[in-house]
Amino acid sequence: MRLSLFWRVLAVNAGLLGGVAALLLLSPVEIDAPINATQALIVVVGLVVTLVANAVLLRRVFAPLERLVRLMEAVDLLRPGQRLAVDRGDEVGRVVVAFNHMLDRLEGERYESGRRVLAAQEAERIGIARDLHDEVGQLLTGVLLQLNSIAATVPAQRAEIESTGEAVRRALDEVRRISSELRPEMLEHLGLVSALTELSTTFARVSGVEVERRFDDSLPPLPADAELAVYRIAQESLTNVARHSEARQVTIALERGLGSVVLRVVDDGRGFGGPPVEHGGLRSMRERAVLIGGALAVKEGAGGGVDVRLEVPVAGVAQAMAVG
Amino acid sequence: MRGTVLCWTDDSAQGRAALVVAAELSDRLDLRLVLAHVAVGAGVPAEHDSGESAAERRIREGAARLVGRLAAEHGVSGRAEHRSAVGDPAVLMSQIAAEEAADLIVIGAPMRGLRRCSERRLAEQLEVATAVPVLIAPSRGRGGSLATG
Repeated sequence: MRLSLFWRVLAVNAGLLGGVAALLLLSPVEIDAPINATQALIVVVGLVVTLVANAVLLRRVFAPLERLVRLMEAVDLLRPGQRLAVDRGDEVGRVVVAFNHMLDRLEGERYESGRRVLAAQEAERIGIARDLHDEVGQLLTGVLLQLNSIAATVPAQRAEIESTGEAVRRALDEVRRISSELRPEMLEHLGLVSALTELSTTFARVSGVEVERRFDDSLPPLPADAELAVYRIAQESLTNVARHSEARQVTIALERGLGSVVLRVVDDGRGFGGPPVEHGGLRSMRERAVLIGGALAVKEGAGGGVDVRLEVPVAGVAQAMAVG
Repeated sequence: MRGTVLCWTDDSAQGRAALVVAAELSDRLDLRLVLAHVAVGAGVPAEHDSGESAAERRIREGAARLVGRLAAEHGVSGRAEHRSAVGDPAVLMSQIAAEEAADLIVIGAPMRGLRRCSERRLAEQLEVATAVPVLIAPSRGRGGSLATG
């Protein structure tokens, strides 16, 4: 039977104190008052030996707790499935069991809250996109028509009016681009490959970064939610390339995996320059990947840039969604 | 249709044997090969952006260099992807396996002597920490090899 932590600590200290007491009882050591130098030296040496022995023995007793703390610190809810080994029946083992149960609960709650937040975010994006397209877009189109009609009636100001009209046209294009980014209609109507083609084409035009596309011809179909997650992760990856990478080229690929679809976004930029900092965009990407049961790796690429790899199991999507 | 084999490797004979076995498996079964080395250390929690000390940075960069060098020495630089990290080996290996959607983890056989205990513990901890199957590559000296000539 394994002793509990309390009894093991008590046994260590009792053993040490018993040893010291036995030494005092059986050895010819005497302590005078006032104490002389030799006796003081014996007492100090005895104290140091006792403390060192105590530290060594207690360190062995508490080592599993230190390891438990390190493991607890490393656990991340956005990397679900991490559990600690239960290889002891004492208090430490019971803490590990409780911690594993807590992770089960937290992962479930995190999944549900993440799903709701992302659904709300998508709904809000669709609302904003609709407003931009229907309201602002219509207004700008109206202004453009009015300018054309004014230009016809005031030939003297034609050049200025045409210049203003050109600015309005650019604003209209920008509104359409933002609206399309917020609500990828291409995804709904023509599928993931077409949507990613449009996304990367627009990205290349706006950012000036050269884009290489590699899309497999026959990809297994994904549910709409999974396609949206893949699209958003690609979008976020490209945004990061434009903002942080100083890349000249980026490769975006969609490949058939082993019962899965794999998205890859690899740039030739300056990389992380340290361990990847996982907040904001990267956390959001991980959140989306978790919700569709995908595996997301964000790492230094072979060429020094950043390599984003998302693998979405075709069968796993429905399973992950059912868990939620 | 490609699966992924994740290989824990280091500078020891056992780490190199694991790399050889993983590379051969990758070659024969057309698997994606990911080489990883986790240097033992405190590590930096993922959400902290300023926690890496100079010493930790040196360890991390050393781990990355080690993986790159081993890949080059075994002729898999062109096709192997690299992962390196600092922290608890079992926890981080299981994390990397999850991120890379690994189908198999290959590690070296436990060493003889002082490191035997810790390496055996890694295999046991991985068994619990991840659902991914773990293959322990036998050392060449003990007759273990996938090579058929």
